[in-house]
Amino acid sequence: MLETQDVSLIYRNGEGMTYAVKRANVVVRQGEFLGLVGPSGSGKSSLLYLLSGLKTASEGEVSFDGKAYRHLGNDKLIQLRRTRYGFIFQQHFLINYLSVFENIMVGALEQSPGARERARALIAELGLEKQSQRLPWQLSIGQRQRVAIVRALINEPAIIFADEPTASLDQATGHQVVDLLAQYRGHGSIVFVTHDPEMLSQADRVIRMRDGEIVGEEKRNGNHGTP
Amino acid sequence: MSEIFRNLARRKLRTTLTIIGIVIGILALTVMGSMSEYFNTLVDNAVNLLGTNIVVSPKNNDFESILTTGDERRVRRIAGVRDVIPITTDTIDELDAVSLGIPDIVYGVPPEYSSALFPSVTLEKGRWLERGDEYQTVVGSQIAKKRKLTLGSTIRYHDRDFVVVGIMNPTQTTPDSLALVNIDTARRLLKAPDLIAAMYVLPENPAWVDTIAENIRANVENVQALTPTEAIDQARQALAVFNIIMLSGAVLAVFVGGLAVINTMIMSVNERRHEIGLKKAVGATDGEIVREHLLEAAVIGFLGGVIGLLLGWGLAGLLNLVTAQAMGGSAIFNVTPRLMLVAIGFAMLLGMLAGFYPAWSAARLDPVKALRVDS
Repeated sequence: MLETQDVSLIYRNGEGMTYAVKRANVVVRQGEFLGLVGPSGSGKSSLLYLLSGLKTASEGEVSFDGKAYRHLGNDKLIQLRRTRYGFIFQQHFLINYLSVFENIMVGALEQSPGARERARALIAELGLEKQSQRLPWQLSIGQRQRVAIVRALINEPAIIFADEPTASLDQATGHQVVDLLAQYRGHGSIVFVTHDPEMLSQADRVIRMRDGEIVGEEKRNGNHGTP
Repeated sequence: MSEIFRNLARRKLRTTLTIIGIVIGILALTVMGSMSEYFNTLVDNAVNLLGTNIVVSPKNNDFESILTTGDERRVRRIAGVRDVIPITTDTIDELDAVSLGIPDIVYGVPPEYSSALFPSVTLEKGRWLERGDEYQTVVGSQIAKKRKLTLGSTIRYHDRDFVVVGIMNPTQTTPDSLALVNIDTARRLLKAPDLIAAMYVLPENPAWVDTIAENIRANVENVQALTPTEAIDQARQALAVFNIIMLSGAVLAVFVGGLAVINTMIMSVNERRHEIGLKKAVGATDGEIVREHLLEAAVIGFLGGVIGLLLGWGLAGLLNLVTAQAMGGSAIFNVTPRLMLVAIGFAMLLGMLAGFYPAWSAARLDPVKALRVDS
């Protein structure tokens, strides 16, 4: 579904250059929970940005359903992100003057009654009904991250990209977030970046990174998705 | 839209101060513009007022040069001249050393021509002067209002009472401040039996106006002949200079207001980097980001424009009251629908222009950089 071919992200400083990601080959299969793990600065977030089209590859190709990002053009790439991808970041990045419900609708493809109905259903599913009209500062950190998850799920994306979503949470809340995301496996894929291997207990596959390079891959849980 | 208002309401003090910046500019624009509109109206009315009459006056505008009956005869001999109306001019009252506004003027005219002097002016009450009238007068609307005159009232001029026999309709220009009397009576009171201050020359055919004016200039010495078109052009040129001076001050004030909008919007974009980054990450296009921020700037401009217009309107009304007392009922600040539209439109346009750079820079943000926690 989503794959890279020798993809690199290079930062140039004057005459020198640094590989944030070096010739990585990754396949994200439909319906799998893929973990990217590594220490700080290993390039796992950069790889996620390349996979999701938030960063343009310096070398190599990234393609979704056989279409290379390089040939899509910026408008179609934005459209792809909008329609097929969902994002969760380390910080919830909720807009502080909008209610929980309105924050979720920021990610919605359209402000239709159907989208609003889906937002309400997701809010109920994640136990945020009482908080739906509250502002972000009135929520606990765990609740805010759950709202961010609902925002990512609102368009039923093909892939959810989660960049260190548990890094700011305590262990218990972090595991709750992982459990919530793991439930989405039936609907789409999850690419989950973390520096904490404990958070990948539910992953189907884990890719290890160091110094911008993939240094290992481990299959788990028996569910490896379909390519 | 409600998102925009809520975002503006979050920083009440900053938003208020920014709006005040626009308010001051638009207030100045409204007041200055309303004065300009008044003078525009005057010029427009003057176009109708003169009709096709040529005004002949002494070449030197030194208040001492006069025309003579000899000049009148020479003008009458010019081909195409149907008639000539000589007039004398004087102020009704002795002029004070310090006098505000337009003084009331007495025009001495041949009584049978009192209605032909300004062809488009009509009477509100009474009649025009007639042959045989000596101490009768027809007055303009402003004089009537200021001196509370009605038919049968009298006004004092050179120690004689003149009975009001007619009151002209308002014209927003010269005739409003005029009292027409018999020219022979005026000359007698002024002790100047041949005095002519100016002449109104009536052409046989309106198409000949320019030719007649040229012939007057060529054949009669020491006079200037002004056709209606030339008179209006002169007035418009003077008005254009006046408008530039008046409006440039206002535009400068509005420009400063625009700088306040730029400043506010740049701060807003910086504060909302995470929000913009998130929206871009989840698929907002550059155009959508620009539109959102431009709309916010336009709302600031619109609010400033409306408040500035209302305050300017109020101030213009207040100034009209003050000037009416000083100048006898003359309202010189004219807030027209056109001015209102210009003020609001200009404020919104200014807001959007001022908001464009911040909006553009917001759209150009790299979502990954914008989403950095330390950004």
